[in-house]
Amino acid sequence: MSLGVFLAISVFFVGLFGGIPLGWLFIASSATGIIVAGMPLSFVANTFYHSLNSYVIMAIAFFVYAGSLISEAGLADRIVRFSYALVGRIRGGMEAVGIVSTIFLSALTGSSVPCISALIPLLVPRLEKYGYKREYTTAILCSSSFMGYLIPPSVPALIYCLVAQQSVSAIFLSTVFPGLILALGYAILNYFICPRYMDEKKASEITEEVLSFRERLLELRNSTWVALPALGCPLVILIGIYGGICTPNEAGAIAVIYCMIIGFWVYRELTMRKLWSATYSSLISMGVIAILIASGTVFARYLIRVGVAQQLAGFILGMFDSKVLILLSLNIFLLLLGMFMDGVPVLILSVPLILPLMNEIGVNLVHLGAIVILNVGLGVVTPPFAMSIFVGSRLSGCSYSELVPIMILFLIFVGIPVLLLTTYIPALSCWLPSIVLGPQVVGAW
Amino acid sequence: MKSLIERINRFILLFENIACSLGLILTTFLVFIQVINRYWLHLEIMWLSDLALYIFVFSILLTISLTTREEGHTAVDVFAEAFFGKKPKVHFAYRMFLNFISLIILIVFLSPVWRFTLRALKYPEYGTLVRWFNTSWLAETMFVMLILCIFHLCFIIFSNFSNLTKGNRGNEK
Repeated sequence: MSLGVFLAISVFFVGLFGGIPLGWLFIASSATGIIVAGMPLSFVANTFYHSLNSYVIMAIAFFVYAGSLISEAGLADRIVRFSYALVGRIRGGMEAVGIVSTIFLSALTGSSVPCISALIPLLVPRLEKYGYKREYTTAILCSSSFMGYLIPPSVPALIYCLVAQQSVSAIFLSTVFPGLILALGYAILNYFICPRYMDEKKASEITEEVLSFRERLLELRNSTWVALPALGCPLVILIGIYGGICTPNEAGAIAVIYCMIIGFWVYRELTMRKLWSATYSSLISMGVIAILIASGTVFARYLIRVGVAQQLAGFILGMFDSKVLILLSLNIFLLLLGMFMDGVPVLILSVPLILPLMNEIGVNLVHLGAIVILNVGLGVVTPPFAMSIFVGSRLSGCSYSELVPIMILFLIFVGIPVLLLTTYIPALSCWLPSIVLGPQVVGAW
Repeated sequence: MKSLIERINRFILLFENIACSLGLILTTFLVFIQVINRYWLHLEIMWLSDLALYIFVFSILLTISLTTREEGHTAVDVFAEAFFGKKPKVHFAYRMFLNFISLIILIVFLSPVWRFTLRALKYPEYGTLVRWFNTSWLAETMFVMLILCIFHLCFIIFSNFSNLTKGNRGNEK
């Protein structure tokens, strides 16, 4: 390893743990390595500019914007009511409402934080009245929030496609089965552990109306009718992309316009003030993502240029000769990174570095996409740096330490097993894209 | 002097808010119109997607400075929280130090971006990345973005410093 690379990596880790904003830190680390090696600094400015000039980033911006609009336009509320009519009356069903709502909202927002921001204010106070402890509801919503990364459209999937140059449609589909297995796993675990987190006194005070089967069907029909415009949004996106009608960024723009129309003229909950609030929060999120993509690409390309990716591949191949162990070490590496860093920088930094190694051991890049996105998603719910816990605790008023033990249960009994299943059974991620898009798009797995 | 800086800050705030939000909304509608054109009017306007990308890159560059203004950039602050969380003054001073470090990084980054911008100014004909529009203006926007980021960081450091000294004076009284 040359002195320049050593200094660049040292500056990165010192700055990372010191708390320097990652966007500036990537630039500082690259500049250090480049200056020491006597290379021209123009590489930094060129790469920074050209990495932003992309239609994929435009798609990311549209999905972020649509995500901000759904909570302001009243779509989330209708989806919660629909989910309640669907699963609310089984044991632990009120919590299952949260999980089902997260699946639907994931298909609207493409990210985790908008799901939590929309659902916690809606569900936590309501479920508390039914005797579900505030911290349990918050923990379950935070844990299931990363389904926003797995159910298409997904912002991390778009970033993976940008970095690994893969088909957006294939990567979107690769995480559908893992996402659904995860939701099922959460619902089953919730069924068994929810009595431990019930306030029996409060629960006994609430007498739920007993409905006949016919009345339940009627209730489901009514709530479906009201939620239909909201449920139409993911359909518009998915039919648009997989029907070959539009590109992912066009689907994103359609989703934004659709949310505006529903919010202004169907539900009539979107006002100009709320539109501005949604626009402003999207601009902030876009600014964060843009600097991370631009400067992260600079650092990743610098490391590739000086041969770090090849050295890393050689080192790992020298350590382990089995594909199983290499994939296990990849998972541990990504999970550790996710414990301290946000998902976007993990993706931008790690994917270019691991690509040569994965090509060497013959891992399908669509399969790799599913593994990486799952890891990045788990990073969002894994302490100490868990964005979902930060947002969840702020919105619900629960403390960090109240949420972590419950979330660890969901992580150990559901999150990690689903990650291992996805890693070692490629069919889970590759079968659906192969069926929908054809084996020539996905390749051999 | 202070009021002049605050007036400049308010003007920049307004400019960034309007430019970024209009850029985002305009891009959304342009892309939407393109789909409508293709399927309804059966008329593909060649330059529409280029224009959308052009406006998008312009506004996304400015969102970086907007996020700097709001101190919204992602950082791993768990360790700083763990060390200084219970000492608010030390934590505040440490945040000022981090802003100062960020400022130095941006000043170092300014030199290659300036050279990149100079090239765009000198040879605008090289701005052919997008066929229909002169992309050298976008390279110049990147320089403007960097200057705005530097301005915001200076303003934040200045405001934090004056808050800190005011706080100290208050304590002394």
